Amino acid sequence: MKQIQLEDKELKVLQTLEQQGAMSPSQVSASTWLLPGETLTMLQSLSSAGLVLLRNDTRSPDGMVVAITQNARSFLGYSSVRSLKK
Amino acid sequence: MLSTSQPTLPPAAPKPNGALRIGLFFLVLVAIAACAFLLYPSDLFMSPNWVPAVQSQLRAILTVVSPYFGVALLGTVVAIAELASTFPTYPREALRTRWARILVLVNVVAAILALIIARVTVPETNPVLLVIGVGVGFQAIIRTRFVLARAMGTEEGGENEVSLNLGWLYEQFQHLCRTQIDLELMKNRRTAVTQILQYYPTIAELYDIAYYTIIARATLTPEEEKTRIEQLQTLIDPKAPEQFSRNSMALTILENGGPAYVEMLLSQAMTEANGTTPRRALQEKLVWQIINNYSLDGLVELTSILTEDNKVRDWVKQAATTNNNTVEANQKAAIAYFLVQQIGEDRLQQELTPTPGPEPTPNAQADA
Repeated sequence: MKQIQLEDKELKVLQTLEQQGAMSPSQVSASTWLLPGETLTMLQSLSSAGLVLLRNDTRSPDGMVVAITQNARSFLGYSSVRSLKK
Repeated sequence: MLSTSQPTLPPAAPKPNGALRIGLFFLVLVAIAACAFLLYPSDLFMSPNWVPAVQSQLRAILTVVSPYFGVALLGTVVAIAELASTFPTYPREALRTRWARILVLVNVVAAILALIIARVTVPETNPVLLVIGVGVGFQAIIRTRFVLARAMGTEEGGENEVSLNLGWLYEQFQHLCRTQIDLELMKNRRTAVTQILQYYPTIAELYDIAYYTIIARATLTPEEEKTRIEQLQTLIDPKAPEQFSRNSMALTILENGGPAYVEMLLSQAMTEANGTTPRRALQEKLVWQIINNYSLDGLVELTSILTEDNKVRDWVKQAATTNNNTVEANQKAAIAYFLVQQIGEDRLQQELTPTPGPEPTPNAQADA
């Protein structure tokens, strides 16, 4: 598996998306207590890494929607197995 | 500004046909009564004189009719199996179409004709063997292509072979039926997609439902599941146009879950829409209300009114601070969702609902 180094905050965002499903970036902010600007920057970098999909959605209050990718799900599954083994 | 009004209810799904059920019940009852009558040992008990005569006549009729009934039944089973394997997602709906009935009827009539021909040409054959031979053999023959010769090292079905395709005519007819059934089903598919989009309008909802529909399928192999999830991910990709994404996700839900699952999803959504306090709708309504009625400074003030928790107040204050990384809509939406989560819907609703003023006195009305 490709080596992915994530910060705690990034991991928290991915876990939130995995548990709660696709949502708008503002919902991610509200759920993780991260500030909106910080969340958006983080989501953009996660999107570049292929861990989330970020796109426009005119029906969302902030005009965007974000979803976790299968790669990120596999990574989270792998990391949770590793943490259980520890 | 985007509207958050409730979509109108689609026409209710047709209820199960009660008359059909009663009809089937009586048919089964008549069949049981007929069997009991035929098996009734009339010579052992006191019975009217006409009973043994009618029984023997009926038995004679059945002896003649039952082989035809047997091949017709086999033809029906084969036609139904073909239809169900061609339309695995909508077998019930496919069988209800007019062209499906035509296909079954043609199979039945052809099988009966084949049995008549066989009985005329080889009358001495054992009737049971004849029924099995015609019922199974005929169905196989009309679907078979015999390859008499093929050039070495060539692919099957290529030009370099001599073949006798006995099933050509049936293939053409089958193709016609398949196309017509598909076209008939298109109308239902379009209706189902439209209804899904009415009740689950956001990409987030559609994506989640489609994802869980795929992973909940028990019959998909891991490879199939992976391929379908990858296809779904291409739909949420920013390059795909928004409306195309929505339509395709709704179609993915229908294709993977089937019509019965979609009906269940719609009835769930309808129950929620008809309820007095639909939670999801109320939350979205509150968020839009907050975004539309408050500025960033107003939201900071609102938070200080609603809570004394310093952590919540500080977060809102920082979120409302102007910065280059985000836009106001995103800041307001984040604060609105945050308040819904931290303060609660009821308390926010109470704060946002304007309190009615005192009743105007007659004098005040006259002054006005």
